[in-house]
Amino acid sequence: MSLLKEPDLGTPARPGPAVVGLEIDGQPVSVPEGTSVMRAAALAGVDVPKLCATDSLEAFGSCRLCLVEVDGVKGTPASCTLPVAEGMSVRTQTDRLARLRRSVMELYISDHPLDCLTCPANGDCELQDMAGVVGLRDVRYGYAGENHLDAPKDTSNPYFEFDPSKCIACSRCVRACSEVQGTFALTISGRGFDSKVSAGADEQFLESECVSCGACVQACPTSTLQEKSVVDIGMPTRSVLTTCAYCGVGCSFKAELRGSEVVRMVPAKNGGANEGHSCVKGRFAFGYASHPDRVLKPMVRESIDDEWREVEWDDAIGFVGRRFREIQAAHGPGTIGGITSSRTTNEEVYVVQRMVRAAFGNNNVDTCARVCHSPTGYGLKQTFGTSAGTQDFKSVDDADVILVIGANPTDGHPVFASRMMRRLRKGAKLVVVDPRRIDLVRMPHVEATHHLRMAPGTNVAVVNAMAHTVVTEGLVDADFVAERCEGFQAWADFVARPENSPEALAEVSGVPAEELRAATRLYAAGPNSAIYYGLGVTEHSQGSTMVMGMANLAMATGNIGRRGVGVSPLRGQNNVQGSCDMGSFPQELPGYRHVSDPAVRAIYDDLWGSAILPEPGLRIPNMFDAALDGSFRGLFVQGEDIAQSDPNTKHVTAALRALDLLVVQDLFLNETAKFAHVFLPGTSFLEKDGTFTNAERRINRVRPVMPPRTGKHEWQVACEIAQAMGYEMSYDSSSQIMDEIAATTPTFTGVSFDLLDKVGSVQWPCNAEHPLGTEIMHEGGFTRGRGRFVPTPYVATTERSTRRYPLILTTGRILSQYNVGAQTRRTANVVWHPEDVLEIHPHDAEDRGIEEGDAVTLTSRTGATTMHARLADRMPVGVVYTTFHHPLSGANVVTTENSDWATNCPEYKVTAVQVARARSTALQDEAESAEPTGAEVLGSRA
Amino acid sequence: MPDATLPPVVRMANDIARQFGYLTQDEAATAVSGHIAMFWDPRMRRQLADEVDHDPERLDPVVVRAVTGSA
Repeated sequence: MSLLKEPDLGTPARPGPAVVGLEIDGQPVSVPEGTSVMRAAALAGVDVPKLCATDSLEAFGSCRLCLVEVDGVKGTPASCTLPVAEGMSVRTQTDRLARLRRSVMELYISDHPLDCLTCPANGDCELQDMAGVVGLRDVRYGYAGENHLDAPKDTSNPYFEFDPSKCIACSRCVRACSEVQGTFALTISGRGFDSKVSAGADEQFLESECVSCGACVQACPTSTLQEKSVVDIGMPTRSVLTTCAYCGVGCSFKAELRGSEVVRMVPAKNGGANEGHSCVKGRFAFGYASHPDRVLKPMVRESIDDEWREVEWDDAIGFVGRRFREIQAAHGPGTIGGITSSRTTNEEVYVVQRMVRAAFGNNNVDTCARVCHSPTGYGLKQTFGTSAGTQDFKSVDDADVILVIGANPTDGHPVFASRMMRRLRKGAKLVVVDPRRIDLVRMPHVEATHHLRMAPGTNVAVVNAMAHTVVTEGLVDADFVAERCEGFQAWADFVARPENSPEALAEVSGVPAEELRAATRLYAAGPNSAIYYGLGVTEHSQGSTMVMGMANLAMATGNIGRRGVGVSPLRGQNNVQGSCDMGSFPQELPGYRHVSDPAVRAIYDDLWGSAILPEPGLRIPNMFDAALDGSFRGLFVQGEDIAQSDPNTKHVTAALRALDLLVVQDLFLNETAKFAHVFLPGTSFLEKDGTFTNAERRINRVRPVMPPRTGKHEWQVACEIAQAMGYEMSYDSSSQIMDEIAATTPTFTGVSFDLLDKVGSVQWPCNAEHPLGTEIMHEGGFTRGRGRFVPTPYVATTERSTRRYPLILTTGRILSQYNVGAQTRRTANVVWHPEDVLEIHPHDAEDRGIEEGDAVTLTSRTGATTMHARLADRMPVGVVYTTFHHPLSGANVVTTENSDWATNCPEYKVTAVQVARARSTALQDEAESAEPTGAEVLGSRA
Repeated sequence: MPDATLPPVVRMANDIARQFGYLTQDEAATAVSGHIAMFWDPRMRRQLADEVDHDPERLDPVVVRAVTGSA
């Protein structure tokens, strides 16, 4: 249920060319073949009463309210399960139907609490509505019979409660959990009067497989499943349509408020990316925006050893401007720079990169994409000509074979994963390429046909072996290649070499040759085969090479340029795509145009009154190296916690300490702020006014539900810093910033807030050629003309396991936490993940005398930390896994300086480590000295 | 020498050179030179040039060829 009432047509749409004509209550109606009578009636403006039907779920026919009379049909069929037929004549309102409906409602109400006036759903309850619609006046059965009114509540979930006394057993929640979410955590247990909604095997919600996506709460027509925030605060009174600030799916939400207090976030049915679905983070974990830890006033200090001092905005900005100019005067113009956030809006990022280029006068600007998907930008630009994915999310509905490489979408992109699982349940085949047995390999009603479980660091070996199979077994789509591509023969000759065969590479990759060949044949056969990939591809020393390898595979098999195919990066953060689009790269201006291009520089120099340098600036890892050698001395960090998220923490913190000025703009004091001289408070997504761009290039509006609690928008702060440095820069509104972006960036020329308000969202390119955006890229031809095959030799990483560090650590994320955890750790999501743990195979654990829950020390050549162990056979032997959400364990203390050769994206996925039982549960600093003894390494158990 | 102890520009340049091992030395040097020009800040390029001048043994020969322009 939701405040902003979106029309509910009862049953899902059935798109199709054939049209059926019928008559409903004397009105002629034409609808696609397969449409239900209920939906046809709703489209004609006739609302048939209903309780178990809702248009996000398939018809169920259980409530018996939606009965209709049809000429020539016996009885009173349920309109939700009755498909339209040509010439059908339907009556939805007759005396007989009215009597039947009232009888049904009498039965429901005879076993329902009569506490409407004090119920949290008062005014927003479909049962209440239907009682009114059918004209219920009394309940002949009375209320003294057997009932469920004393059924105990389940309040275990931190965000919603389950009150079975109010349940009408419509099964909407069960169906939502299966059809929409795909977790199948709920069922109806018992029969007849004993039927009841059951989580797991009659468990409490929190103990069950429930992933707290909220689909059941959304679907529930009564107050049985109700947000605790509504119980506590009351029903919202207004609604603002905005976009989630968590992952790269970019779900549209209605922020529902009472006054300025957000009561709940409800997924928007017409959200282009999510179509009414959500995950635990976007749906429920918004409380961080009003957490007491929020810093709302600027703070400065002369030295990082001093206490913070609150100051007014003018003082803080004046301090920043003056100090940056002093550094430049003393050490040179290229000694300062900025890092933009992948979580702020496009407009905010654009303004910060302008500040760096025009006010700082250099190109030392980079963004968080550096450490995640920068290889995507490089690799797809080299091969296809565009630094972005090729499809929209809906495209997966047309895929016959889905190849998931180095991604864990059920954790990292849950709403997209739900969509993918719907397609898999309908028969698409799945190939998973991952060292870990991720959930997607085997889930309720989903099973991978092939799981290529390769050794960490051997992605390129695997993709080359697949390419070898395609080329040598005659699986190439020769027509597509001839018509659309170039460089094929040199590439084909390269991959056909014996050293690239599955047999030759089986030992190094760990993937049996026959399994790899079978998976490749499946992919090549399609007919529509799609690749989805994540940071398990990019965060490697050959991340860019692997992206090109996948692009080669897609081109060779003709799987580009239509629905159901493509190469789609699952970008991690809400606006990492956007921050790249906005030119937050040291070598590229907005729209991925190189700074060396004088015509592009002229566009901005003329507009900005600047003199943009024609040479690339420093990337984030280069900034750290330069800070340590003294050639980089001042840094502005917008919304990034590099001291926690970037690899080799000791190196990063040493670099930050070396700076003369570190300015951090963020919501909370974080690990990076420990080394800062200025803290500028940032705004949460609830206060921002702008746009985010998700993983499918979809530009969505972010609308403010309240003014900035800090008193300024982040883009205003950047403008004022520039002014304090003597460079005039100002805007009147975020809309004006987007207008400037559109005026200067060819892929954005049609974008405006007006357009987005009208159509909801658009995928770039959005210009004269594509006024409403572009869903599928490279349809008629590649952006660069012809797709380019690029040979991808496998070069093993220099990070190898040794006697001292015999295991390989790979890192990633989980569902309930997000990135460095700054937001999610300040919500009730900590109930699912209160700490980062180390997943270790039971054999590796046994060798080391480690038991479930033991404190263990994780050591690499760069550092050590301590965390608790979780024995997990989904890990391969020899590989351990952890997340980076908690600063206390600080997983990046152990990751290294190794990075992708082309982009310096860190090799987070391959670190040689040793694990041993910890002598104590000391913090990471104490663990540094806890070198394992020989007995601990050899795993002797007392 | 383990890569981690090398100066960053040496390590990164060697990484780049390794990727073009399937090309001839001249082609690889051109590719390395082009990549560095497109993506490296001038101070990093100067540091690399210093390394070529003073300690070329730590560098992949393709890198040396790319920097000295003898490609």
